[in-house]
Amino acid sequence: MAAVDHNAPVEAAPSPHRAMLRRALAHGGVTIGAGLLLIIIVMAVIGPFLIAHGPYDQDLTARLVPPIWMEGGSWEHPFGTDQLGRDYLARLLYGARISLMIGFGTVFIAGTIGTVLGVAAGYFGGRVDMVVTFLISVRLSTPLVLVALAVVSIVGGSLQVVVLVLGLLLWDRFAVVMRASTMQLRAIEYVTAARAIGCSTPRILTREIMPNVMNNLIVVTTLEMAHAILLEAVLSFLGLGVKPPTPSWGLMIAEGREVLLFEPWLITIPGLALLTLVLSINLVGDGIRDVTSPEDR
Amino acid sequence: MVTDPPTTAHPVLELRAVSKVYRVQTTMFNRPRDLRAVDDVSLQLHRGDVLGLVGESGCGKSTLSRLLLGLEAPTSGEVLIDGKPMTGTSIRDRARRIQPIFQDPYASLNPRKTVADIIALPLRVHSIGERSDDAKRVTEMMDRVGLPARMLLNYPNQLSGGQRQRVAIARALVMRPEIIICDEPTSALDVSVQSQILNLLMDLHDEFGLTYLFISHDLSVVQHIASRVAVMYLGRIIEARKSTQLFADPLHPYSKALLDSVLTPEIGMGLPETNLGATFPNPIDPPPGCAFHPRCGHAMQRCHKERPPTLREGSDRVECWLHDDLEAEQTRAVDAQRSTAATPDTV
Repeated sequence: MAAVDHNAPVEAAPSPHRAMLRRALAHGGVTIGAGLLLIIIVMAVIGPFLIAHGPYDQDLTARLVPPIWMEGGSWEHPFGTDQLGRDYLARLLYGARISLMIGFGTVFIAGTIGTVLGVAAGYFGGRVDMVVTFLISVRLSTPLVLVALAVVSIVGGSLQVVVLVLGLLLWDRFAVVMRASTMQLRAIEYVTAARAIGCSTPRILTREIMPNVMNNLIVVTTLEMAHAILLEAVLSFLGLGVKPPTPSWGLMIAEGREVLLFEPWLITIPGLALLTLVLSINLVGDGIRDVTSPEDR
Repeated sequence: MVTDPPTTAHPVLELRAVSKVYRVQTTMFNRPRDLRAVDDVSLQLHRGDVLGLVGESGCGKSTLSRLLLGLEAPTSGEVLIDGKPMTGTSIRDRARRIQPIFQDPYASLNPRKTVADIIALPLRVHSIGERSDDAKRVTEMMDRVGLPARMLLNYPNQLSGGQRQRVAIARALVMRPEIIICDEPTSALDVSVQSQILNLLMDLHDEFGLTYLFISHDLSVVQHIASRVAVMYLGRIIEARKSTQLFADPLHPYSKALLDSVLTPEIGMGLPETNLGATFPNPIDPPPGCAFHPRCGHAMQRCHKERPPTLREGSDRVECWLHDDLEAEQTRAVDAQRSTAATPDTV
């Protein structure tokens, strides 16, 4: 037995989290994705305070002003105006808020439902697993867009309704992934050890299982957030998402559709914004998967 | 000896005819069948015993350890600790008296917790002592198992296999249990580290007066540390004797084959021939009569039809028709010894 030197300095012990953070910063996808995402979030939060125009302010004398890089553009409206003379940059920035709210709100609801169902199914197995697996199968055989369309057209579209409907529909991937990763851990020896020590089931779930399935949860969260943002755009494009004066990127594309051939920037600007947001979220998600997987040996 | 408290008369851990049967549904349309993972096992461990439990993989060793820890309930039979039946008591109640050490120290420590948190977990769960004393108890325990105190805040992935196993041992011992179930505690470690961990386990055995159930397939390890050895085959204990006797003169043909299968470092010996054949019988569909007869070189007519008798009492036993007479003789001898000797014999 080695002699114990109590006076030895405490070794600089990077925690798994800190080691992971270091790996994440070295990962190209994560840095680019997180950087873009951060820029979008910052712009969505403070952007509207920095520009003179409101997203609802109409100016019928300045309709369909082209953006600054096109002939006839001016610094008054850097991204131009739409058919009602509303400043496109202001609408884009407010639209970012809507998209982010939809993204975060949806994954919060869906993540809670899916994680509870998935972890319960994975840990308890047996009957619980059978019921959850059945629910997942039902959900997977439900045509997502059709159900969302039907519900929104009955209840009426608003930000809250869209978040709620998407949240209640998009939990399946959370449940599937959480179930699989919990199952792997259920029989692992540190969980058995915790049971043999006499830990209660809630304690095992929160202290032994959850911290070790968190990586997977984060990856699914990012992917589903992107999914929700795209679905909202689809619903709004079809006229069943958020209500018209609200500046949603999907709605902006829908409104620009009429003048697609003459003023294509009305579609390309919100389209590019949507692409950038979804791409950055996916980059972060994929990156987190890359960064965390070597730790699972 | 007369002044001994009455509890010492009981074996500290006893299994009485314990069986565990799993219902197995092989395909969706078949009727479920029974798998007897542990079949009518009786064992006694007295204070200070080190009982080696050996057998092939799949013979039920690990199920037995799960039954002892209370992670599974036996289908029939009883587990007794200090003479008190454990049937119906919660895992929490028995956790303070019986703790496991697992095979793989890479899987038995939560990678998201520090060494201090891992070792202190039993103290927190059972509210032993003040929270502020945890650190003191933990460092004390780490010292005992040979871990420097500076590793208190390290994470398992920063430790070597041997160090991890020391952490697992510290966690098992921090509540001062009486019985430790060691489930192949060295088989996942480097050979150079194995002996260190074994020596540590034996030091702790003496220091804390522990009782070990030592599950292993490594016969040399068992020979080195066990005072008694039980050989398991298809869920049954087929031979249980004093370690020195069993290693000197195995009675059951299966024990013989197991001992013969140990690799020796002598040059030119080649691989040992055990005559066991390659087929391990399907535990869902065990052979009739003696479960070992299809692989046994001494199988007689009787072995195909009748199962050799199980002996529950006495410390020596062999479950084999070859030794039918011998066994009866021995039990009589042991019984006679027991009735005359006033000291409870721990053998």
